[in-house]
Amino acid sequence: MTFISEANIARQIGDLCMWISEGSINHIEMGMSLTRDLGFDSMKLMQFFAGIEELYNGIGLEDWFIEHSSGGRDTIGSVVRYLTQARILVAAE
Amino acid sequence: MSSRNAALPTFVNLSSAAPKQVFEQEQLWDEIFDQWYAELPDARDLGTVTRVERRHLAWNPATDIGAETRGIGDRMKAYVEIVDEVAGEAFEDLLRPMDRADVGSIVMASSTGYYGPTPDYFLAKRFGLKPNIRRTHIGHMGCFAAFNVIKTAMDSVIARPNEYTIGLCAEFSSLHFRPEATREQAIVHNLFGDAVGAFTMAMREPGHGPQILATHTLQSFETSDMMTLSVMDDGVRMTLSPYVPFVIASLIEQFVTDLCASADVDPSEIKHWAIHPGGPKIVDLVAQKMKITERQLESTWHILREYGNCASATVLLVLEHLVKNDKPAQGEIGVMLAFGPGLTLEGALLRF
Repeated sequence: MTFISEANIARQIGDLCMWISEGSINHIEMGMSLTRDLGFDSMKLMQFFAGIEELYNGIGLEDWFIEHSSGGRDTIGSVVRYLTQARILVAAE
Repeated sequence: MSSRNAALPTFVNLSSAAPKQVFEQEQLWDEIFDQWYAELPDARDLGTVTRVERRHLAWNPATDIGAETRGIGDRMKAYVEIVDEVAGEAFEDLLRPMDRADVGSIVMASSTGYYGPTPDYFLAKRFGLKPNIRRTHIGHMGCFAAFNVIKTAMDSVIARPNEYTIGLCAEFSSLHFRPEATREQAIVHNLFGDAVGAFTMAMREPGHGPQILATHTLQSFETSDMMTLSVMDDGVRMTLSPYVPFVIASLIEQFVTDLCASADVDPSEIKHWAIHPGGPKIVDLVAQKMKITERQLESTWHILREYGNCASATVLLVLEHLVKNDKPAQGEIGVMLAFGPGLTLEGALLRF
């Protein structure tokens, strides 16, 4: 697995969110909640999860959404941190 | 698995009923939802995304609620009348083939109404059941409460194998529709319908109806605010996180494995699926995870399309339709599943 910095992951996730939002948002911040701020419904979440799996070689977000889906904690930044950590663990195996 | 000829808690009869008023989704949008959700972009799409085509509703949202809302008192008053009418219809169907003196217990669930004595008291009185009948009313557990009814009924028939237990789930979500213009509430109001699902349970050997081989429960303690019910001044407000289908899908394989293991059944033996259609995405993802075919989902989709999500009554409606439509052969294995606040997953393993 090639090394991708946290900043690059943040950029890729931001681009993915902009693409799924189909122009309904014009900027992305790490503190934005996928559901509360970006208004993702279950269809858009499905696209988001599929996009993550494609970008990061099958890394799933199941553990992430069990932990972060409530109370607006589903921020873009939390996804970025989760993926950074997950990639380090995969690389170490 | 328990001995193939053993007497087990068995659904010896199933019945259902619904309010007489039927509404097409488009009609509801033309008459009131366009007004309620005027400020939501692409609001009409929410009417189709639920895959509900028509619903039986106790209250016509256009005329019984309208542009203004109604207080909780009015809503509960309406519940008292409708629950007696519709639950009475399902109850009467169950009593028809049996001797009323053999009914030892009634177990009833509802998350959409409150008054006491609870409706089961009035049903017992109206239909001439004995005054020492055991009654249990299960309130406010949400869409999976059919399983609380089933499990209480199982305890009842196991403890007193010569008696019948009647189980009922009566839900009238239309009495809680409120003109709140958010996408979440618009989806709730386009998904939920009203119905009563009911059964008679008794200890029986194979061949008298679906036997219950095992039940299983799982609470996901990290996701308590994903699906909630709160009493407001103007009705019960339900919330539904878009993550719900994904959490259920992430837990379902292990859940079904555990359910089957408790009866020593291999999950590959499951032929029939009665799934609570909490929403279309839940059914899609559960089907994808468990490799359930469209043919096996016919009853689940039929009930969602024709009745909507009728909360705790739904999985009983699906089972009733499955028994009539699929005509499972004796000995075939089936699963009932429902999901609700918690999130909580409930299941029962059946042998037809």
